[in-house]
Amino acid sequence: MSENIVEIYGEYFRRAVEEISTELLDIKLNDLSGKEDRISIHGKKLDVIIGMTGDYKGRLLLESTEESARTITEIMNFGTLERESDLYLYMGEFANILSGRAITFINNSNQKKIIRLTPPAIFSGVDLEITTPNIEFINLCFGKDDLHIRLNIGFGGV
Amino acid sequence: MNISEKIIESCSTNFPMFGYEIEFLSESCEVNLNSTAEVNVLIGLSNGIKGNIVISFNQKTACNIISAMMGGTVVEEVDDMGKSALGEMANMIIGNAVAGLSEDSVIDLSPPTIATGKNMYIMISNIKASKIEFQLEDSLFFVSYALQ
Repeated sequence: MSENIVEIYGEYFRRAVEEISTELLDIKLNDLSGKEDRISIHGKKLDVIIGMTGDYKGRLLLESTEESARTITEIMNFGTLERESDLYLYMGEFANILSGRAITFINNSNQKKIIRLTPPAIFSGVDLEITTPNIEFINLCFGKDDLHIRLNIGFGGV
Repeated sequence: MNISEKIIESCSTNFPMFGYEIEFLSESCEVNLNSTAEVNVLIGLSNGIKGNIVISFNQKTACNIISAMMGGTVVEEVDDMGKSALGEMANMIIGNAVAGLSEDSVIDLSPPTIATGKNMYIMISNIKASKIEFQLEDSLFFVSYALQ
């Protein structure tokens, strides 16, 4: 797996975040990649994993605090969530929409290579540690006010 | 053969290769795919079948499995090398289990992702799921799946 591919495909995810946050949340998130000290993802975290299969294998890890996840999901729901489990489902859907847009860009850019997505898996916990061995990855960070998200996009796999 | 039978067969075939006897205990239906175990290995499926499979165990069982895969080396914590070994084990078990399940197309597996933690909650999917319970030596071992 060329590092170049990770960088190039990372750009498609960056574009997807910018478009989806504007279209879905009506928020223009600032790109804080490389300025990790300006984002805060500590305490109780909520992480979404979406696997990528096909000609390139990999995964998207979308990390946020529970507070940021609640902000995103309440905007998507036009109000307070009825059930706690909705927080997980809406964040899974947010990550699905976002990676769906990025994968559409990737597949359209190179029609000889096809990438497919697996359904989202949502993890939460205080001391959560998520690892995908043997992948090359890129970190993208976005934020506005107290809303912070980090995307870890990796390709390669075991 | 359905996927549960294939998972049971795959576990029963693969674990003895590491010197472990495994016994199928039960299978239950869950309202969604979830886990509160300390160590979870997730593999997503796409193409012929879309869904997620998660293998869950406690820290001690994870260390025992890593130790067996590394030729008996004493393992006291799940480090990066151990996570890689667990990912490989999941690839073997799930790869064998899903092989030949779809007649029309090849099922693609995502790279395995390992989630560890002590106060963890996982919601893999909000569709009905199955949880298969095994006895692995003196501890329990779970394989859960939800397919769309």
